Amino acid sequence: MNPLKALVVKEFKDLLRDPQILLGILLAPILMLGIMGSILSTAFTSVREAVAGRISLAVLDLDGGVYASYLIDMLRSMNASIYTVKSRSISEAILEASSRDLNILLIIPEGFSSNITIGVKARLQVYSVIEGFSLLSTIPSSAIQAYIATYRDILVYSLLGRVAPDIDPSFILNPVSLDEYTVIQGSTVKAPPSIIFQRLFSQSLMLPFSMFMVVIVAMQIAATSMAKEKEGKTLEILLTLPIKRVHILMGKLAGSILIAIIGSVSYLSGFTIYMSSFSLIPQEGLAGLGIPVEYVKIVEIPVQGYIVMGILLILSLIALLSIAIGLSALADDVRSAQSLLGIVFIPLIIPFLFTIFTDVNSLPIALRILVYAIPLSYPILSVNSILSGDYLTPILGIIYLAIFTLSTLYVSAWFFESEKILTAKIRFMKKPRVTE
Amino acid sequence: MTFIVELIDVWKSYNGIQALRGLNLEVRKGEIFGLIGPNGAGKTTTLKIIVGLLKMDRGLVKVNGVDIYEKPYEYKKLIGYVPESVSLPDYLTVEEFLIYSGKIRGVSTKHIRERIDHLTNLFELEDKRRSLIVSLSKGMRQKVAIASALIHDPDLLILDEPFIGIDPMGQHLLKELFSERVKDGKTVFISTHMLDTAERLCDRVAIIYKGQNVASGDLKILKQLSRTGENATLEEVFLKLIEEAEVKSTRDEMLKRGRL
Repeated sequence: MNPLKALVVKEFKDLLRDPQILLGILLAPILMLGIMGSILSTAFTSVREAVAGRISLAVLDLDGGVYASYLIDMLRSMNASIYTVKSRSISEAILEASSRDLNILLIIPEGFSSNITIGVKARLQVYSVIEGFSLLSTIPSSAIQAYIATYRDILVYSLLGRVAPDIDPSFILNPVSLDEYTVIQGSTVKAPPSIIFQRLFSQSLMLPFSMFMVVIVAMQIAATSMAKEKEGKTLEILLTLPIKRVHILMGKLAGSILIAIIGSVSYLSGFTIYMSSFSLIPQEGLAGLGIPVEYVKIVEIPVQGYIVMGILLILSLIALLSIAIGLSALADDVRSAQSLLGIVFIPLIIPFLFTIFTDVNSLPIALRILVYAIPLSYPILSVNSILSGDYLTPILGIIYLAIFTLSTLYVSAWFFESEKILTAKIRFMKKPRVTE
Repeated sequence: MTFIVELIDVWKSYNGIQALRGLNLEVRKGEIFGLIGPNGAGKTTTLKIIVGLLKMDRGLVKVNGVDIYEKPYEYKKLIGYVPESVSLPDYLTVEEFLIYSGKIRGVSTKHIRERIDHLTNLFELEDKRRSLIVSLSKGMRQKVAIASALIHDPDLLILDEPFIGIDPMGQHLLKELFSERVKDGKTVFISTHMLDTAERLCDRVAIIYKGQNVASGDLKILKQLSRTGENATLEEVFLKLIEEAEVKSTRDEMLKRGRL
């Protein structure tokens, strides 16, 4: 084992076993997001099962006419379990239904059928008994609304057939239809942009957000590790070893990147579990939403896109980690290092915000230069560039980041070689001076 | 006379403060050498320059006869260094840390194993080999730190205030260890505030004050230099020499201002 490898292994073990890092950075994301996702997933599954299952309801038929009978027959034909209450007042009917564990009471008022017959709007009443505030408690009410809507549609078609037998009822109900098309990269597809972007949102936001989190986590780990070494003077021992200081820098970078990768996997796993709990819509891709399969091919990130994004992410990670290590070496203790790092985080948030709220290319030139000067802009903004088929910007980004990364590594290595690494003592929380 | 460490007219300043002012110092091979002086005298700066942590402004430092700037990595193989109040990686076991210390110095696995067996036995750490460092007492951590500095069996062991935080039993153990190393022809170079310990332990000491070597040698020579008598302790010698150095320093300062 060469010294560099020994340093990386030591960094990895020491960081991995640190409860603050193990719990706070590696386990908390997957545990918290995973548990939240599992709870939501269980709730949504229960809702789905409830919707798909048989609805039970109580019916108080005060009308007794033909349209009331027709409604009850239709509900039965749609697999609803119906209990006809014997009480004649609403309050008693609710109690009677509740005593039989029925939370929905449908009341067909007197005159319901005669109103429909003479062309006066008829009314139905639904009472929902809520016993707890959960997603499940709203299911019976939603289900009965769907049943009533079906009954209403049948009635509309039936009545229109009688009034205008020669006209298609669907024409009267919806005389103008709208076909929406989206043109992207020269291809035209029959789908509104809102549907497409709704589905793409997770891709164009989740990936940049994940990258942002990866970088933040990695920088925190690297800075804490370095500041601990300096505060605890183990850095002094390291620097007296017969190895080049640039190798020490590389060892710390590699150890932090390894931990960051594990932290990122943990974070992404938790985030995926959390996001998948919202997957009530089909997950078969855009085709599942009725969008043509060929369009799916156009908007999904191809393999080469992921490779480009990976290169950009790794380059910016190395650059930002060497900045984090350099900055934390300037600090006198761990707390000061984290405070210093907080200042660096501010510009890093900028490209992430731009991906959510605006298009960078629409910004004034000065602001655009500022955004593109930030290393993290490239992996984050490359997602949308690649989705829209623009590879020039990410490739220029690789060139810029390569130069930037080499420069930061050079500066960090120079800093490591100088005695400033030991003598610099930036402190944010100054200890109060004792006057004698 | 063979010196393992030589400092010739070494000057060092940082943050506008002159830490060393033409310091001269020689440490002989096979001795326990003590660097003593009041706070801010330049003891830690001297040690840090020798181990390559700080760069001097001017002067010459030789380790084993070689200018340290000529072969900046080679000479470090001869040295084991323990800073003052060092804290070790909390979440490594004692054994893992010692293995790491050996590997990073390029020691072979077989030799590391042998050295760990020897050192854990010597420092009475056998039952703590698989304990995390975070679970150890301050004294035990100091033992682990010294063991890690000895993992490659260096010719020169440099320790900055090694007795701070160590109980009397531990101090006794360290003194025995230092004496054993000297018997094997190795050199131990310590800086300390503990004058009584330095008196009993060190073969020779150097008293430094305001970045200069006020006096150095064995206790007999120091007593002669300070004219404190044969029965004087190192503490009495130290106080006398420091007082004389302070008078000389003030006189020099006044002369310098007078000339200006």
